[in-house]
Amino acid sequence: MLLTDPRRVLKSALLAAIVCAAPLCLFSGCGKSASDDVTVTMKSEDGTEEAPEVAGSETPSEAAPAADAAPAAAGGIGDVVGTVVFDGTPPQLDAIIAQGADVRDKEVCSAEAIPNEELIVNAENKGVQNVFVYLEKPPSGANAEPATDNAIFDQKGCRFLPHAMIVRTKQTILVLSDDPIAHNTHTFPKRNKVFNTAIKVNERDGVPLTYDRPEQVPVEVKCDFHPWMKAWHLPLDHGFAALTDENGKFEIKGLPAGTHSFRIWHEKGGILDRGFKITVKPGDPEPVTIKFAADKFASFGGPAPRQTVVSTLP
Amino acid sequence: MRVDFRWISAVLTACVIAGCGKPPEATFVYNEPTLELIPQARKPVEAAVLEFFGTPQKLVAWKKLPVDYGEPTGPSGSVADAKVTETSFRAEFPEELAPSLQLPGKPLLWLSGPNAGKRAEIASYDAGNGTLTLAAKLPSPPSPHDEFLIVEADAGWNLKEGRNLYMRHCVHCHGTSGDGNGPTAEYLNPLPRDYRLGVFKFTSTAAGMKACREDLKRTLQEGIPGTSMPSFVLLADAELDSLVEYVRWLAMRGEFERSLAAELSGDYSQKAFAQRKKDGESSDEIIAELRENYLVEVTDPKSKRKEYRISPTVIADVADNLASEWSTPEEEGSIVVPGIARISPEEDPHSIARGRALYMSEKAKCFSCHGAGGKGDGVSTVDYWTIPNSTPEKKFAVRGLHDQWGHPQRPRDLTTGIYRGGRRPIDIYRRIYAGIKGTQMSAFGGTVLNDQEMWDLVNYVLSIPYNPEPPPAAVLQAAGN
Repeated sequence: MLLTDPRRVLKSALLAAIVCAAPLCLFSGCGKSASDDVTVTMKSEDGTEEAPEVAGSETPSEAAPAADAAPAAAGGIGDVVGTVVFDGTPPQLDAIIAQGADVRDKEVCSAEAIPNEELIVNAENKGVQNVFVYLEKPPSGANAEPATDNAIFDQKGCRFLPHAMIVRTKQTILVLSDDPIAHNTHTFPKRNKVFNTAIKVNERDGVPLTYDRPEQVPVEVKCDFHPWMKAWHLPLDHGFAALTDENGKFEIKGLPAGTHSFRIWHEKGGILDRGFKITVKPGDPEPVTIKFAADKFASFGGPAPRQTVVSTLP
Repeated sequence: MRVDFRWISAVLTACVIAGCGKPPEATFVYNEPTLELIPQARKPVEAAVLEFFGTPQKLVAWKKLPVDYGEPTGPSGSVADAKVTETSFRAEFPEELAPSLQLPGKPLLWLSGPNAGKRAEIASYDAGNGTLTLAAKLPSPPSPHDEFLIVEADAGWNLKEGRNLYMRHCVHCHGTSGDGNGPTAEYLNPLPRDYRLGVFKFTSTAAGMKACREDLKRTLQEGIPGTSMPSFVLLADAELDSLVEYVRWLAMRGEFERSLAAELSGDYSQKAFAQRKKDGESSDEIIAELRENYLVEVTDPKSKRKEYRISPTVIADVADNLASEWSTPEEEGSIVVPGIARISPEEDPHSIARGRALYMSEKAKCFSCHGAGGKGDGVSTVDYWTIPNSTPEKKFAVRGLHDQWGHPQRPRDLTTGIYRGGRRPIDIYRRIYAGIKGTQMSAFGGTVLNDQEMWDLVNYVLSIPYNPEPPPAAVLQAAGN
């Protein structure tokens, strides 16, 4: 019999003891739990550690004053005029939506063709349109008054108007719609709050959109109803910025004399130049020509490679 | 049956021994944009995050941020109107002290009087006559009626409490850093929330605004139906509050790191650096420019080595914005409150039909994503969408909508009756009014739909699971649309 053999009884008892005790040891953990070691150090607003002996003695520090407000430029004030030129054969991009194409909301969206505004190069003078030329920070001594008027951002025929714009921080942008269908305006900023608001049909009063902080590069704006709709906003805390026109020309006024470093950005090529140096002198400015090779604007022809999707599960 | 007792005991003994010893220490990880920076930019970002947030073991509570870290707490008392010296006085406690409370060794924090704000260690306490003796002389003797606090839980206790609860209940899905990448995460669909964008989907706050404390607490209490997020309603109310503060803090930590990296990544990511060198700039020039614009040189107090840190103006700019964005949702007027009360479909039989008409209208266009039948299969789900801010434009590899985290997302299937942000009419109202943060569900309230239209849509949405067939066109016309 099982229970009559003393060796077997002893063995079973030992086994049972180990089986029961082992998980207990494992679960109760051994020694101190990690959460006992946690410490919290208080740090005052200005970043200094607070001595535990004296609490509540934090002295809020005033943020260092922004760029020194130097008196108006001693060397005078000048302007910059220039042209951004495409170095290569100007591409002619097909319309994204051809007139009468069978797309969603076609009675509105393909009533007229929607041009591809990703890269607009003037066939005659090779000027590139919608290139952002700007200073990252206002130069000291420059007069950077805030904007007083509202900016207008419209949409018509399932296309944002304008395709690219420069705005000032805190400036009210009125988002309008001239279409009898719903749109929504969805921004993808890096430093600002996201704006994602539906815009009602034929909205002519405007829904206010503001950027509180300047951005380093333009912010993409999209409509979540119409995948092709796209625009770019560049919010800056100064006015020393310009967009090139249909001839690739731009003009920036009222800069203090001296050499300034301009950032040049385009939606196809991203940052084309981080610091294009232009020297400003009082009086009539000498026009500057800025040339970029075709390959700077990345690949502009050809459809995206076909993709096979096996699963859409995340 | 023969059991080889020696083998079992050997294995179990090995397990028991291996189970002991110190558990591995939890660490915060840095996120992609930081790791993609060149070392001269990455190290200062990492140092700043470490300096202002610490590690999971050595937390730093930065008062700049709107987080309730926990003020010092414990029984309060006052100095009795009797003989007072620099080291002893008679203490009066308005509430009887817990018998288990051992006063000697505890810090005493002066709340008023000449020593207000200072601390002193208690040497002894005579419960019989109330004489309290301090371990060291005070700079000046306290005056009668001066108030003090026996510090039982020191400043920062709430953060520590939240951390410990988080490490017990949340970490396996949401990860130590709140990156939604805990060990369980890869088995879950949808993925656990990555807090580090500072975005939470289901809020009661206005469009574009962050979640308020109450929103996060509600998510903890209710869970998120249709996902793996369970309800934590069995935790004590105070525990939920601590967890909410810790999750907010983790979100702010992630956002702080991401914002600093975003400041630098345009010009000093490894990719940008390689491009700039290709364009003819020298490494020295680029690094000198980085240091001039974003960094300051400091001497490490311990190693006495010179190091570059993020300049205080950049830190202040990022932190000020963070503090303001996280405190606005707590202010009055930030919560979406309907202008008129809901009239139920029983009281207003045409409400559902009006809602259906709006759902299918050009005005609201709900069908475009959610589909005509509410199955979440609208035309937007078959498009290839472009990746935001990609220059030149790139498309997502997968059809359909994508959220701010870059994950594919389905518009909600409204026929199931499962609503992730809650199923109360007010929850649906707020989803439509302010949109779902971090997704393509945009805000319709105030711009497109008025209060009455909002409620009609809510009534229709809530009716979909019970009426698989949408009302015929004739009914819609009768409803006056």
